[in-house]
Amino acid sequence: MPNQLAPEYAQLVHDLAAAIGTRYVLWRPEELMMYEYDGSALDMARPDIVVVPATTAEVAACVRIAATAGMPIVARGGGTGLSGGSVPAAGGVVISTGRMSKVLQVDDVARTARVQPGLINTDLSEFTAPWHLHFAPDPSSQKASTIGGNAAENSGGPHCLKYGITTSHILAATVVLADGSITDIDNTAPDAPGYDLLGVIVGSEGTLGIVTELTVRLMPNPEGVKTFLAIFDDLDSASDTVSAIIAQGVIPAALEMLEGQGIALVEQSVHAGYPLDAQAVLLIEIDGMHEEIAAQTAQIEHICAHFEARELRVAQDEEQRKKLWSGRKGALAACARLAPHYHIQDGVVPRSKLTEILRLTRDVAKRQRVHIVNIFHAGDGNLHPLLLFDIREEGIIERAVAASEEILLACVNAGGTISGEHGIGIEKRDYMKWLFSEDDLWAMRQMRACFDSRGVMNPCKLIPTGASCGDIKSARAGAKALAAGAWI
Amino acid sequence: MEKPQTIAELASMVRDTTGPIVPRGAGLHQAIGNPAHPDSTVVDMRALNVVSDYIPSDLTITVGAGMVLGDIQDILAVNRQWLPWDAPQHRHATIGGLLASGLSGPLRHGAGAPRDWLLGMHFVTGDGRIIKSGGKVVKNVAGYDMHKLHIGALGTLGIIAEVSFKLAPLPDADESITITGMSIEHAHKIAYVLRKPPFNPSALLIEATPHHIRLWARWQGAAAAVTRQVNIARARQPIAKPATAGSWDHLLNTPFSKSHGHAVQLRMGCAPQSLESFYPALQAIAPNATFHIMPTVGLMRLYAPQMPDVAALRAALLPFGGYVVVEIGEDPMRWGPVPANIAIMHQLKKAWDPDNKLNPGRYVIE
Ligand SMILES: Cc1cc2nc3c(=O)[nH]c(=O)nc-3n(C[C@H](O)[C@H](O)[C@H](O)COP(=O)(O)OP(=O)(O)OC[C@H]3O[C@@H](n4cnc5c(N)ncnc54)[C@H](O)[C@@H]3O)c2cc1C
Ligand SMILES: Cc1cc2nc3c(=O)[nH]c(=O)nc-3n(C[C@H](O)[C@H](O)[C@H](O)COP(=O)(O)OP(=O)(O)OC[C@H]3O[C@@H](n4cnc5c(N)ncnc54)[C@H](O)[C@@H]3O)c2cc1C
Repeated sequence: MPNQLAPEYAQLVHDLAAAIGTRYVLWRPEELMMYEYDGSALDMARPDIVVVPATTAEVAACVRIAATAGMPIVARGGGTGLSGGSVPAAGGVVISTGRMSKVLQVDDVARTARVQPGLINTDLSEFTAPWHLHFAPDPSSQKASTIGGNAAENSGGPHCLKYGITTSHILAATVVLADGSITDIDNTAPDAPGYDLLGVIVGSEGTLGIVTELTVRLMPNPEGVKTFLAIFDDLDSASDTVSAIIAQGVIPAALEMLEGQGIALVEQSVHAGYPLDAQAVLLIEIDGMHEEIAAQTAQIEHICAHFEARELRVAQDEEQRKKLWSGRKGALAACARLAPHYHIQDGVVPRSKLTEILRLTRDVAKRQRVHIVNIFHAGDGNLHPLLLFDIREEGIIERAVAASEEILLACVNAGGTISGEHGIGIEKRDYMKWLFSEDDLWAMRQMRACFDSRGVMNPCKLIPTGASCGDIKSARAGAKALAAGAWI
Repeated sequence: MEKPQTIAELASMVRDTTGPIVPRGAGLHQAIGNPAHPDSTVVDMRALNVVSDYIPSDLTITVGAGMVLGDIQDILAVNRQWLPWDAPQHRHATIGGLLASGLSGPLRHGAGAPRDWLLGMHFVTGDGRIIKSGGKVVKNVAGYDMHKLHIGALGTLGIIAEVSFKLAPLPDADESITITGMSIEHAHKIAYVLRKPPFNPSALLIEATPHHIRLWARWQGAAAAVTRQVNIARARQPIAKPATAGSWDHLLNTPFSKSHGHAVQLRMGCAPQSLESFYPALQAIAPNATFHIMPTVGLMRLYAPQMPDVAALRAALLPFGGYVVVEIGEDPMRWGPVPANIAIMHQLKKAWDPDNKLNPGRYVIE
C-alpha cells in the first residue's frame, strides 16, 4: 500500500495534528494495523485514523474535529476486549487512551482514586498497595486492560463474585460527548438529585461518550486470604460443588473452574501442579476476617468431601497461592496451544443450572467437532467456553459459530444471558434479540440518542442496527491468528 | 384510583390514560418531592405483589414492584437469605416506592446501595410500553443498565413493574453498639477508627438530636469475627452499650412516627472526606434539628419541626460538591441548583414519557 494519505482525509489529519501534535496522529497503513482488532480476534476492521491524545481537552478537540467531518469515533484502551468493542466496525477515528495512564490522586479517607482511563488495571492496585487498598474488579486481563476499558465493558473478574462488578466501583467519570463537550457525571456525593447517568455510562461500550477521567472506589485489603484447589474426577461433581457452596450461603471471594482438556494443557505450560488426568479443578478463594475464614473453611471442606473431590489442597503461603492462580490466569494462553485460533464465549446461567449447561457444552463440542475448553467464573454462573480451531480447516468457522450460538441460546433458555462481562460489541449484537424485544431495543436506542443524537460514538455496536453496519460475519472470514502467550 | 393486576394491565392503563399518572406504593411517601398534580390518576401498585421467580440456590429473586420489602425479607429468611437493605418503614413500604424514592439505610456502608443488588427490571414507559432492562442472573452486561435510571427518579421516567435482585446469605451474628455523649466531630473520628482494620462494620451512623449525640456501629457475619470486633470496640470505648437489630429499626423509623411531628425532612450529601468541614455549619444553622449522618457514605438526613435556613446549608455544602434536597416541606428551591447534565435528563424524560404523563412536576426533571 502506498504511504500516502488519502486526499479526502488530508484536511482531517491536518486539523487533528494541529490539535494534538503530528506525532500523535497515525494514518499510515502499517501504523493502523495494530488497531484493527481486539482480543476477540474474529472481528477486524481498519480505522482510517488513530489519535493518541494526552488530556481531556485534547480528546474533546479530536472528537469535535472527527464528528464535524462525519467520522465514526471509537475509543480504545488496552485492546483486550473480547467482543470487538474497540474494532472500528464502520471505520473512522480511533481514540487511544494510551497516553492517559496516570493515577491523579488517592484519597485514603474516602477510599477513592482519581485516575486517567488508560491506566492499566494492575498498576492501580500496585499504586494503592501502601495504603492497604485495592481496586476490586480484577479481569483476568488485568495486566493489559485499562480502567477505562473495564468501565466501558462493566468488566468482571474472579473476585467480583464477592465484591461486585465494575459498576459498583466507579463513582464518577469525566466524559467527552459526541459534540465534543466535556461533562462530569459525578456520584461521589451519593443520591444527588437527577437521574443516575453514571449507571448507564458504565457498561456502555464507548457508545455514549469517551471517558477521560474516573473516580473509583478502593477496597481495604482483607485481613486474611485462603486459597484451595479442589480436584475432581468428574465434571458433574465439580459443578454440583459450586452450586452447593453458593446454596449454603458461602460467598467465596473467587470460585473458578477449569475443566476437561484445559487442565492438562494448562499444567503442561504453567506447571501449577494440576493433575493431568483430573476432569475438573476448582480454585476456591475465601477472604475476610480470620474467624470467617475458619468457618468457611469447614463448610468448604465438608462440601468438597460430600461431592467426593479427589483432593483438596490449600496454599500454605503466598508463593503457593500465586502458583495455584497462575494456572487460572495463564489458562487462555496455555489452551491457545491446542489450535491456532480461538473464540471465547461469555454466557451466564443461574448457578443452580451449571451442571446441565456444562454437559450441553461437551455435547455441542462433540457434535460440531470443535475443541471446547471451559475456564470460567463458576461462582457467578459465568461460563467461558473457549472454542479452539484452525481456520484453514474447511467449514470450521461456521461450525464454531454454530456451536457458540447453541451454547448461548441454551444459556438464555435457562434464564441466563449472552454476556456476563465481555460485552456485546459487534460479536453478540445480533443475539440481543434473543433477550430483548423490539420495545426494549427501542428504549436503548432512544437513550443512546440522548447522549449522541447522530450516532457517531462507536456505531454498529451493542444494539442491532440496520443494514448500514454491514454483515459482521463477512469480517470474520479474515480472522487472525494470535500468537499463543500474547495475552496473560 | 386504578389497581392493575398484571404488568400488561398496567401498560394498557397507562396507554389509555390521557392526564397525569401517579404511581403509588403504600403511599407512605407521597409527600416526597413536589406535590402531585391535582387531576392525577393514581395507580395503586399493590396488586403487583407476587414473587415471580425465586431460586434460593442461586441467591436471586424476582418480585412485583408492589411487594412490601419486609414481606420479601420474610420469604427470604426461611432460606436464611436477605436483601441487605435497611430502608425505613420496610414493613409497609413497597419495593417500587422505595426504589423510586431512592431510599436506603446505614447498611449501605458495608453492603452498598440497592443499586448494587438490583439485577434487572421491567418498567412501563409513559406511552405504555413494557421495557425490560438487565436480567435475573448475577452477572449480565447485555444492554445498558437502564434500570439504574429509575432509582431515585420518583417514578418520572417509568413505572417500575417488576425487579430482580441478587441476595445475600443472612449473617450468623448481628451485634451493635452505641456510644453516647460526644461532639459530632468526635463521633465522626470514632466512626473512622471503627472502620479501620481489624474492624469491618456493616453500618455506622451518627444520630445527633438537640438532646444527645450518639454513634451507632453494627457488625454482621461469622459469630466469632463479630464478637472479636465488638469486644475490641468495647474495650477501647468502655462507655459503649450494646444495641439490637430492632433498635436500628426503631431509630430509622422514629422521625416518621406521628408523635414526632417533624414537618421537614432534608437530604444532604457530599463526598465523605468533606463532611468534617461541614459539621460546625450544620449545627449552627439548624440547632433544633435531628440529624442522621452516615459518616463513611457521605449521606445525611435532617428532621426538624420548621424549615431551617436551606440557603445557608447550601452555601456551606455546595463548595464541597455537596447538595441539599428538601424532601418534605415547602421550599421554592426544593432541589437546589439545576443538576449538571440536565439537558440529557430532559431528553430522556421526553424520549420515554413523550406526553409528560408520569408524575409530572414531581421531580427536578420536568
Ligand atoms: C486473556 C483475557 C482475559 C480476560 N478476562 C476477562 C475477565 O476476567 N473479565 C472481564 O470482564 N473481561 C475479561 N477480558 C476482556 C477484556 O479484557 C475486558 O473487557 C477489558 O475491560 C477491556 O479493557 P481494554 O482496556 O482492553 O479495552 P478495549 O478492548 O480497548 O475496549 C473495550 C471497549 O471499551 C471502550 N473503551 C475503552 N476505553 C474507553 C474510554 N476511555 N471511554 C469510553 N469507552 C472506552 C472501547 O470502545 C470498547 O468498546 C479478558 C480478555 C482477555 C484477552
Ligand atoms: C413522612 C415520611 C418520610 C419518610 N422519609 C423517609 C426517609 O427519609 N428515608 C427513608 O428511607 N424512608 C422514608 N420514609 C419511609 C418510606 O419507606 C418511603 O416513603 C417509601 O418510599 C414508601 O414506599 P411506598 O410504597 O409507600 O411509596 P409511595 O410513597 O407510594 O411512593 C413514593 C414515590 O415513588 C413513586 N412510586 C411508587 N411506586 C412506584 C413504582 N412502582 N414505580 C415508579 N414510581 C413509584 C411514587 O409516585 C412516589 O413519587 C418516609 C415515610 C414517611 C411517611
